[in-house]
Amino acid sequence: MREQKKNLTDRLVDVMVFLAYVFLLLPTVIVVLAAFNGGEYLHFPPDGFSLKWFSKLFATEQMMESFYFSLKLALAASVSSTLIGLGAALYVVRYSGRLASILRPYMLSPLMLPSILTGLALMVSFYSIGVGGKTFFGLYAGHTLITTPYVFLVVSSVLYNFDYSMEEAARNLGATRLQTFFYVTLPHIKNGIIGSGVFAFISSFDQFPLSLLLTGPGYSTLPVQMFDYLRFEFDPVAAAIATINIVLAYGMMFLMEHSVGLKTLYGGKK
Amino acid sequence: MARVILDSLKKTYGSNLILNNISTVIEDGELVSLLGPSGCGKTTTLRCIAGFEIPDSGTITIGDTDITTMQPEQRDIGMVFQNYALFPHMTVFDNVAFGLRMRKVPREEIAKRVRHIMKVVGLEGFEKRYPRMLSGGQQQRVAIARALVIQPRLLLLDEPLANLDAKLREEMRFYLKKLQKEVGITMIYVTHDQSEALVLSDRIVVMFNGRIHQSAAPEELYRHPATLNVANFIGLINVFDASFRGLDGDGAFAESACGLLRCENFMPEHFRGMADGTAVKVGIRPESLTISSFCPESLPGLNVISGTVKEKVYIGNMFDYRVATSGGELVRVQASPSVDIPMGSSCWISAGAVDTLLLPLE
Repeated sequence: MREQKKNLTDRLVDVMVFLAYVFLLLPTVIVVLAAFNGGEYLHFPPDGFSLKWFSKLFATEQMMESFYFSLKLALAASVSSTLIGLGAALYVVRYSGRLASILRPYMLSPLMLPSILTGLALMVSFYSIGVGGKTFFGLYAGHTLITTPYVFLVVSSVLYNFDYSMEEAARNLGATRLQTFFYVTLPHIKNGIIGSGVFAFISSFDQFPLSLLLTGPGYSTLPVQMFDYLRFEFDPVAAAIATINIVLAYGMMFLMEHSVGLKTLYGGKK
Repeated sequence: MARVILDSLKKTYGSNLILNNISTVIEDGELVSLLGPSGCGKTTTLRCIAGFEIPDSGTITIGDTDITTMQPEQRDIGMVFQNYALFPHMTVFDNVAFGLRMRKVPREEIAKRVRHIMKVVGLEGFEKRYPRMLSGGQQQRVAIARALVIQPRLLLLDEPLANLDAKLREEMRFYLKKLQKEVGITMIYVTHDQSEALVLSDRIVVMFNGRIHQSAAPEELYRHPATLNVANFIGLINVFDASFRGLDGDGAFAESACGLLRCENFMPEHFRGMADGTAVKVGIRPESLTISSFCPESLPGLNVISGTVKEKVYIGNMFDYRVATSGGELVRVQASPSVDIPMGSSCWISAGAVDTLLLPLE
């Protein structure tokens, strides 16, 4: 098929898109390059190539500990926010009662508030009920709180697109409510659940302002640890850990696109 | 026996009365259509039978069982949905086998019964495909197979042909009718398409605003509509405003702007004891009217109206006239092309009293 000749506006749009990509990706590229720097300081352009900052990173116990801690925290938080978000979405989409209309904005509010505010509010409330501001539970609850809206948003948009006559057909054919959910509804919203769960995982893993207020001794998340590290040292270990983060995030996105399709994140079909 | 009895069903949504005293009996093996404009309550009635809605009062029984408040999965009723509602993540085989699996039918038995029903609907060899790979008509037949394979006591169809193109719709009408006779199942069919209902049904239940206006065989319904709404909904009809002038033997008289009309097509129970001068409607179908350029001989059983030809369209097998009567109404006349009356000339139109309907106001 022959393509239509591009006019000036089309070319201008192409240039803008290209610049937007450069603007978004360039800092990431620079950080990755800095991680393989042969020199002593975090700067660009790098002085030669070396893997020494990665080996220093793996030897830095604090850094590795908080890396694993963040992974565990993100896993726990994304599992619980997926369950809560799924339940809330099912309720809000199915029932048009008053509770549903109250629940909808309430479920989305953590997304609207700056997470530093959410963190502050949580810290103050934990203190005032006497559990203390810096506990693992507090951190876990905070991460669950701010990642739930993603799951809620995605799963409810998938549910709004769902054709309910399919559930009625299943009931009509002899399936109970529970069987209908597992055989008909779940296969439909499965991709949305997985996709938004991964999204929740990544946003928990990257979360900084909330963690800053809620981490205590022995419970430092990776972003907080990196922040602390960069206050005292300015060597490319931070760039090395950032590189690992970038690879992790892009890797998950890549896997998601090829399994459930990223479109499910905004309610589309794969 | 799957005799279905709907007894005084009532249903309201907020302040809207959706079903107002719906009662009818559907005999075993009968194909009954629920016909009416959208919002008349036909789909709600069907959903009450399927168990997706519970009526506020009244009962639904199948055979000897009261199913009014039973869960849908316990009712043993098949249903074909307007959009088919096939499960897109399952193959055609799994779709059709779903109901049997829920009933814990042994594997070999499932394979046998699915194979048989696929033959009945003419879709052998399609088992491994997914619904999205099938045409609309094929999806429709999968939906029918899925509903029939569980051998339900009753099959409900909710506007099943609405999403098909005109040609396929025509084919499927005859196919459904043939299938119903072959399988011998009781069917309740919801539609807003009068010609579909006329072709398919043993009996048509016509509904307006949550009420049943008439329940009769197609021919009976066309010839002797009980209400103005039914007469208007099924076929074409010319309606005259008139006042009641009393019963007389087999007939009745009504005074219209065109003169006194004798009507012999009506339901006597609607008019017994009606006061002289009560407002009524007189209806005459366009094909019951005869048009001529001279005044026909006045006979006791013939209503004659004079008028002027205003419009004339030739549509092959007939002329379709619009005649302005002496009473000021515009009347449609469908007449054989052997009589050709020029535009603008005066004419006489006549209809036998047996074809002249007397209808009460709603």
